[in-house]
Amino acid sequence: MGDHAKTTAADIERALRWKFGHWRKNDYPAAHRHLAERIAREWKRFSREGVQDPESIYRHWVMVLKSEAYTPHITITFLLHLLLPDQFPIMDQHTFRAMNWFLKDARPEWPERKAPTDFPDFMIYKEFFDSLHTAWQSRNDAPTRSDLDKALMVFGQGLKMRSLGKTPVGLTNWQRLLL
Amino acid sequence: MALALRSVELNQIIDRLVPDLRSLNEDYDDAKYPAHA
Repeated sequence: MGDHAKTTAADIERALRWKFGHWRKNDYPAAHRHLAERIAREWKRFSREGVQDPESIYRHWVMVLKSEAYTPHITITFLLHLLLPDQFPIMDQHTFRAMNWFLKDARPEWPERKAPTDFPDFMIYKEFFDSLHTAWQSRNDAPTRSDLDKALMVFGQGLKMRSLGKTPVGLTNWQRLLL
Repeated sequence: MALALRSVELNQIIDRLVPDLRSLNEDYDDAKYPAHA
């Protein structure tokens, strides 16, 4: 999305609608609509303040949204992705779950976390994602950042379904990763 | 806290993902996220 001073409220609302998974829906949950509209309303003020440092941007939005029922950490990290897409991957509960699974597998002493709750969690995910993507480049089959993001998201969704005792629907042969 | 993943750890994760990368991407819900970039 680049220059956030040029980003309109409508752009933000559309991007959040996509992130919340409601791109093709005429109607979507009131809580998501409320959050998207609130962030869109606050965007012009945010742009005027000219906050550039990633952690400052994160803290800015935590403060702006502190009156919400919960702090939408994942939504805030998505705003950072929109502002700095080459620096910050998309993190959500699924990719965070996938990261923890792979880290626990590679490093048994890893203190697994269920959900991100602060900026350092996002930085850990960024480091994980960047390290993995960079290390992969020395191989012939290196994925793009987008493909790696998608794979981690689907994997994390599968982990969630498995934890609920459900068979991941529509997934093909990745289950053997869990053996 | 930094992860500072070692190359042996990164290679282990990559080796686990390599065979399934294509199917994981194919399973991505394009209906839900049609314009993922």
